[in-house]
Amino acid sequence: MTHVVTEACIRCKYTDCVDVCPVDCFREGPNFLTIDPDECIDCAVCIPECPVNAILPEEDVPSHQLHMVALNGELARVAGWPAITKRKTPLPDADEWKDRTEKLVHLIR
Amino acid sequence: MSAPLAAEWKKTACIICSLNCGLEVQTEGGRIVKARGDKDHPTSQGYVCEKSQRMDFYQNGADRITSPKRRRADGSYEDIDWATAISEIAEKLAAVKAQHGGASILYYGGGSQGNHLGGTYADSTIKALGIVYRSNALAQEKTGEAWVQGKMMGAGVHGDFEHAEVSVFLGKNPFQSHGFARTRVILREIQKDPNRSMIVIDPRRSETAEMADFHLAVRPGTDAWCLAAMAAILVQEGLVAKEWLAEHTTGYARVAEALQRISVPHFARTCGIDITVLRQVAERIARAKSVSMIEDLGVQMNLHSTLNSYLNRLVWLLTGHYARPGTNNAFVPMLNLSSSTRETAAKPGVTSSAGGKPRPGSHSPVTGAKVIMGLIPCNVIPEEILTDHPKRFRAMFIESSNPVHSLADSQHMRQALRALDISVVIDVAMTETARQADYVLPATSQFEKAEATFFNVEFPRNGFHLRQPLFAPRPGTLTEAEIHARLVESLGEVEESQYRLLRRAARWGRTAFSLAFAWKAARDAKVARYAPVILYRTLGETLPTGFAPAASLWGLSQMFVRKNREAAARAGFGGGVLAAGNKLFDAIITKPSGVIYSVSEYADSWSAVRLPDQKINLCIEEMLVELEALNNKLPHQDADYPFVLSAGERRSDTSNTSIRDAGWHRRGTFGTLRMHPTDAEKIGCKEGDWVRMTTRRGHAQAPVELGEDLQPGHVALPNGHGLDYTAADGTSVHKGVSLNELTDTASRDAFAGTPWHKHVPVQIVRLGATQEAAA
Repeated sequence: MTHVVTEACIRCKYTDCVDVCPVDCFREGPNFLTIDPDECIDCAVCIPECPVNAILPEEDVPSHQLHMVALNGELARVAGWPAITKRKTPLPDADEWKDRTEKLVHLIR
Repeated sequence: MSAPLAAEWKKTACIICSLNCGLEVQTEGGRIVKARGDKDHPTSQGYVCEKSQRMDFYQNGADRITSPKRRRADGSYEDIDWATAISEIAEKLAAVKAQHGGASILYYGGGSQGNHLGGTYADSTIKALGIVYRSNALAQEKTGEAWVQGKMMGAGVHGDFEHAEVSVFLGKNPFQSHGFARTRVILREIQKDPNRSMIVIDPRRSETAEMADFHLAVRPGTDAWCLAAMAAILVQEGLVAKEWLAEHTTGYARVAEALQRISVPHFARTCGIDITVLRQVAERIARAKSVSMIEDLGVQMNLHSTLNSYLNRLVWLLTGHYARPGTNNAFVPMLNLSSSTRETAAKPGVTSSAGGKPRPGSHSPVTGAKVIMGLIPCNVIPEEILTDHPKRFRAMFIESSNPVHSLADSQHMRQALRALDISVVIDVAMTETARQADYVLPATSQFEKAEATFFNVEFPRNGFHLRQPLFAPRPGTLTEAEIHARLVESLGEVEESQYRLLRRAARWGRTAFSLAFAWKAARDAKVARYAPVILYRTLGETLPTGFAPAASLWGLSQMFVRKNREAAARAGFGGGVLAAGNKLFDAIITKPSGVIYSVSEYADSWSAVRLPDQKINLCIEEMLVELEALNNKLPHQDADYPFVLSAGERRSDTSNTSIRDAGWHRRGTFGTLRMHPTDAEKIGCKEGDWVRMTTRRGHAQAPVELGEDLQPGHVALPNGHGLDYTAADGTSVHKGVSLNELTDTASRDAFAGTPWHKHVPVQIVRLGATQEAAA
């Protein structure tokens, strides 16, 4: 039971979600946010915050994004990304990237 | 695209469960458009669950009402003005009182999961009408527990799951139904810590059971055998805290003798739990530094409800887990919702009802059901009305509650309401109950006035949260405080001249007001008697806009600091009592996230025990008789109705019925009957097929959802669905099953009269791929 940040976040990182998280479970990478599945309490408050609808409940992740379920956990646990709890300015070219798909190749760890 | 960074966040709280987590919300044109956790809230500390996102479905429900309504002979309603409504209601209730006495009027409700301030003013109407009997939903949930608590300790207790080495959840799925602050966070912490254990006793593999170290998946309805076996193991294997029991309790020898006689292998077989697992669990509890245990509706709305509450307490008391960090402790309430804990506490040398006459109001007038927490059991209400008994109820006053939907046997309850001489409902919406009432009075919503609840159970630091109004009252509505004030005035009990001096004093400041109130109350008995209404009409008028209904909290603040001087002083409300009470009241009024009003020490859990020498009484004779009876019986099984329905499962898609518009539902399935795949196979149906459920009282239809978390033979329907909602376009929407069309008032606990909603015998047949049209 967790929520998952899907590829739509890559190269955008709007960070609206982190303000509302009751358990501070978002972790910040260079151009992507991930949810620590060990901390997420499945409250869903972050879902409507994301301007690009990147966040989904685990059971609703579509088949072409299923790899992101494991990747969220891996980035949170292994990559050692720091917690992010306050909203900040999105990446400068976020608006250019927000409608693009297949962004996984652009993920910087 | 994203909200502007400067958008204003206003503080309020969630109204869906008793935790009332602090929220920060953004509003736009009368709507709540965003909600997040309030990190400044003293108990929830920013925590929320998904249900916090539904507040606007309550605030802007399409069936909210904005005019008093009077029922016509044909069952339709006409709008009437407030003056007419108040004078007709006062006149008719006064006539019932004159002819049959105040004991013939039943007061029901007084608040729901988010709004208790209205109930403080109802106290004045209750007194003005001489009302003797009350009831509310607590009398179908918590009265058995309160009765046991009264006999054993006389104090309400709450677990410290944040620090407990072992946490035990009995008939409770905290992941969905919460019950203690920051629930899911704490469950996660326990799950991750190898030195701590979580024990879940539940027939279903719930979300919480999934996280537990020990899941005792008892056969449905056999919790009593499981708990009795655990208590018996503690005694038989010498795992009890002998010295602690000798120092702090009475009655151990008698209880030990009863538990020695229990055949643990037989009880283990009956509840379906491996005896070695029962032993491991009993040992884990006995050897832990601290254990907290909480029970909920899974056992309280089930067979042997009151016995379950007793055995729950025996398990943690026999092992000495009380009054320390990580154990249960006696919280300090702001207002005691269970005033009877003292009344029911066992008195030394006095055997109850030993041929003597019961005191007035101690039993319901027709069925003679025990009044616990000052409440008659919900399940007897129809029987107390639908009879020609001379002492039957002739009138009902119902406030912020929906008994037609929420109490057993809706059919019966509708008939009962229509059989009364007069019925009055105060609510924000045209509920199922309002549709049966003679008069319906539209209340201002919980977000349009200052509002609060008295579900304050934290220890050692207990918090109270007065929510500040987010919106102006909807035109046509009145606050409950105003409604009760007008009723009491209309009944001729208080009048303008009694307000004058206090109004002036209120403008001179709190100290002047306190002195004037004390002076006036000493000289005019009605000022003390109708204090809530008097405070509202005087002090209330000097409070900020929308805060007048908080005036009764001045009286409660004064009483609180008087009664709990040390706990109040530790929270910063010390000194002279008047000044301390005023300081507390002002803190409540001015702190938008809530205030810590009481700070306890662990020794206070002992001084809270209202029995001789502050010793806990382990022995309740009535319960030992029940325990003995378990030896010779098997769990109830109705051969004609082979499935056991758990009516009212808490899921992420359920709410209390304040949220009437099912439109909030976004995720997963809605309103399904969940069952084990082998049961589905047996009745020849697959996921999504519709089935008809038939009980001895009624029938309903639902689509099937398969779940391996349920045991074969055990099925579950969700809570709070099946409301008759009138949408904005006037169409009537009915989504999901109204559970109480299926339940029976006679299926109830022998002691507390609490219903067996988690054990409803039912037949299930497949209908097909679609629903059957209503006959």
